[in-house]
Amino acid sequence: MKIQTTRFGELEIPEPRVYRFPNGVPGFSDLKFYTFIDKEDLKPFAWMQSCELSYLAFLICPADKIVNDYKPKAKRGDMNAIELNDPAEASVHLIVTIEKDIAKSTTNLRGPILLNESKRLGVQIVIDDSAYATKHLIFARRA
Amino acid sequence: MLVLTRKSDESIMIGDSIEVTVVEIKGRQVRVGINAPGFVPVYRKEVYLAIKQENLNAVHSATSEDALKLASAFEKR
Repeated sequence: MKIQTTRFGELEIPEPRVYRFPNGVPGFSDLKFYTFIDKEDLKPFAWMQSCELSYLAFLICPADKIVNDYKPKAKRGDMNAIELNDPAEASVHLIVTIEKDIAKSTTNLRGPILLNESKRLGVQIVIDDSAYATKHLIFARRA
Repeated sequence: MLVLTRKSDESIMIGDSIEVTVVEIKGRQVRVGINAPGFVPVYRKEVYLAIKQENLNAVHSATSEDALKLASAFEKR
């Protein structure tokens, strides 16, 4: 499918690269389709680009590159959304907020993205546990 | 907003498939039980709003140029 993006122009996305988020993500719950764009010079970060809204893209990073021992508790509804029984089977990514002072950039540990890679389903889970920060410093010493 | 008054153990049906029950009233707190289909997410509102706000912050902050700067700084850390 052809998608429009503000950062990368028009892209041709093969259907197997499109992930469905049955609940969307908080703030954009009507938008259900995303694709992931890897760029060599961005690793380990990648773009989660909406297939429906050209401006909407999140910079994400695999959680294990940012924190150790991160075990977000997913609710039954979250696991149902991505058709997995065990959260350990999901790939876990964190959404990045870039600050003007790059060194102060953060990730949201309370709202990780969980992906079922084999079925191409995704969910952003909302974690009640206030032990996790919505603004976790990327350049902090690893927990 | 529809406001209903319920006692402990009384319930409210939202549509055919969502049930909200007052489980216990203890002082200034109410314990609320929710029965909803597995695909319906249920959140404490203030946490949901915090995630939503951070998502909006993240989208607005994520330019291609700044992403490259971040990746470069991350590699050098």
